[in-house]
Amino acid sequence: MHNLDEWQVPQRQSPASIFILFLKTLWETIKQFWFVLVIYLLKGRQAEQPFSFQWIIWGFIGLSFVITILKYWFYKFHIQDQNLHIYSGWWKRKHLTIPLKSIQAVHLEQSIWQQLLKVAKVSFDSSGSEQVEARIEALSLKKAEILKEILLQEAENNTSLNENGLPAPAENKKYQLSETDVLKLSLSANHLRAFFVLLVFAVKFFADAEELLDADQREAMEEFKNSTLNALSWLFFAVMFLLIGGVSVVVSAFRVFMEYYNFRMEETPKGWKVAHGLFTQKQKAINRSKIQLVTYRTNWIRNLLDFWFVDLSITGQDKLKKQARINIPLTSLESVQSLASQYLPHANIAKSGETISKAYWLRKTLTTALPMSLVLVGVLYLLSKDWKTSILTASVIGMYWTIHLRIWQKKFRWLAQEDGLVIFKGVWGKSYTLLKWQKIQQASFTQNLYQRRQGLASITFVTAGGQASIPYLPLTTAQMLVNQTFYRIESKQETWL
Amino acid sequence: METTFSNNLILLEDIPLIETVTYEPLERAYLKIQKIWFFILMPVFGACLITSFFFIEQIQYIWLMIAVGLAYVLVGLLYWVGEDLSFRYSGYAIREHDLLFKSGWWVQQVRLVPFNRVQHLSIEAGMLERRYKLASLHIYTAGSAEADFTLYGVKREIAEKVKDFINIQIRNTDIDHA
Repeated sequence: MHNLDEWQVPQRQSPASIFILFLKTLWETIKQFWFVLVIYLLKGRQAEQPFSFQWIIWGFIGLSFVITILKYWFYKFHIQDQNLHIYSGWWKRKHLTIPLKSIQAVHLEQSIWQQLLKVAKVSFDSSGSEQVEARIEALSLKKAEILKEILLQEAENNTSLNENGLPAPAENKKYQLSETDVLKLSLSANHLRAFFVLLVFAVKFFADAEELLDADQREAMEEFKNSTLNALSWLFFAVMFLLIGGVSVVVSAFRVFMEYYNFRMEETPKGWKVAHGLFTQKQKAINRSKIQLVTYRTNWIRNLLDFWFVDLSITGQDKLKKQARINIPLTSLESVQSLASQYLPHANIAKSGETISKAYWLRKTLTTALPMSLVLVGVLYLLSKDWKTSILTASVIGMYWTIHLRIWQKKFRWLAQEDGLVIFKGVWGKSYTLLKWQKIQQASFTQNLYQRRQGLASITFVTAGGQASIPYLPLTTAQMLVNQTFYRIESKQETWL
Repeated sequence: METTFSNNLILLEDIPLIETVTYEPLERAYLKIQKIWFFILMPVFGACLITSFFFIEQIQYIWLMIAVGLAYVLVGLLYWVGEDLSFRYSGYAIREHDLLFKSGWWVQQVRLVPFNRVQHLSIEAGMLERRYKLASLHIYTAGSAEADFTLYGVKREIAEKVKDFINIQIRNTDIDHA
């Protein structure tokens, strides 16, 4: 057991950190002003400069050294009242407090310089620590190890809290996609994205190819365009459309096939193990307690085939895993519900939930569809120089957008249940979002001027893996939902990780 | 482990309501700091525009200069008025288990963060804030970028007190539920 007393006094980092900080600051300064150096180097060859390049370099070194000393001097840390306190900054003073109980892991790192100077960098893993740069650049190796032990001892005392509270599955369920399933999944993918990418590529290819032609060839091409193509323009565009459409279906189906070939999922005591891929095999372990938000969705073709994708928004302890989203394809709504029930056991997805105000689509039509259609008229006119076609095309798109918003608003449903929230939305396809109350980190309650006049409000619940929003609710309903949600999460000490 | 099931009646009056919360206003000095920044940034921005019109021949049109000038004045006015209105609406409230912060004037927003989700706390004060003895309290919850919650425009000692209060609340919650 180590003595905590010596850590209760604010202390600086090891003096060796001055060197480490200097290298870091110098690199950061060069990164900030690299363009000044490049301009100076390039211009220096052409004209006499007021300062020599050497002076510039010395300026950088001097500036970095001053910043380093200030950083070193104003950086202090200590442990007091079960918190790790870090003070930093000269221009902007900062006092960071990290409760020891929220520290999940402590890392000691040694670069080549740190090894030579016999010091170590100490960094802490706690949710949100990426945002606050909680680390000590250089501590003597012995001190760093003692600090690590003290902090980990505290973390260990709190590990009993890091359980989700959900029962472990009785049997290890296995799930696999057959080759026919993967083929269906590939063919039913959204091919529009691939289509637009290929369309842009084809237009660019023809534009570039035209530039490579000589004068005679270009003239022949113009003649071909004016005579043959004009006469057969609809046929030409139809063939091109079908050709690009066909190629995009093949390309995007192949991409999905490669991604989900040999998809296997196996339940483990802590969560699931997922493996898939044709050429590149991917394996993922999903910890059940780290799932923050679950969404399952299907597009209109997949809906006919009863094919679903489950998106698991998870949080992790490092930057790479942070807010990762894992997509799992499943072949029936029943399997989806069985999987989702491990997150929110009694999710009711019947379409009997509450609706949102009609004002949503009216307002969105005025603020998005209408202005964007007007902008589109301008853009199309610049491209085609034809007002009639531009107005007609923009009106059709604007009209579609308006109808899309109306259907979205009409179909939107939300249902607050005992242990969580279920949100349904979709126009062509379907999407269900499940949010467990205990996963909520914070909430926001928003009203624009229009909503205030109409007595409406929008609410957003933020989790560590993503967020769920309900727009344009009656004010009293929104207030009641926030009040009850916060009562629920504050009156029960349920862990979210 | 045996768990005890309870299903006590909760009276609706017992649930704390956000609509009845009384918010503490921000410090007047905070508005002063925002106005100082306005007087620093607007001339810099204006000087950049004038320099651009002076050196770039391709944009030297009278109509464009008038349009940009009008836009500059309009943005300045909107910012000035917006800051005043936003300041009037902004405020914070500390309840037993959470903190509320409201801001904005065109779009008004109330953000709520429960203390039992707080991961870290930090107090920051820039040069101007230190001059007026103000500070901002950053409250970090887990995960996403939106989870950073800032209580700005408060006196340094208030920020310290709120930070200590949240720390005590976090510890008490742990003890209560241990």
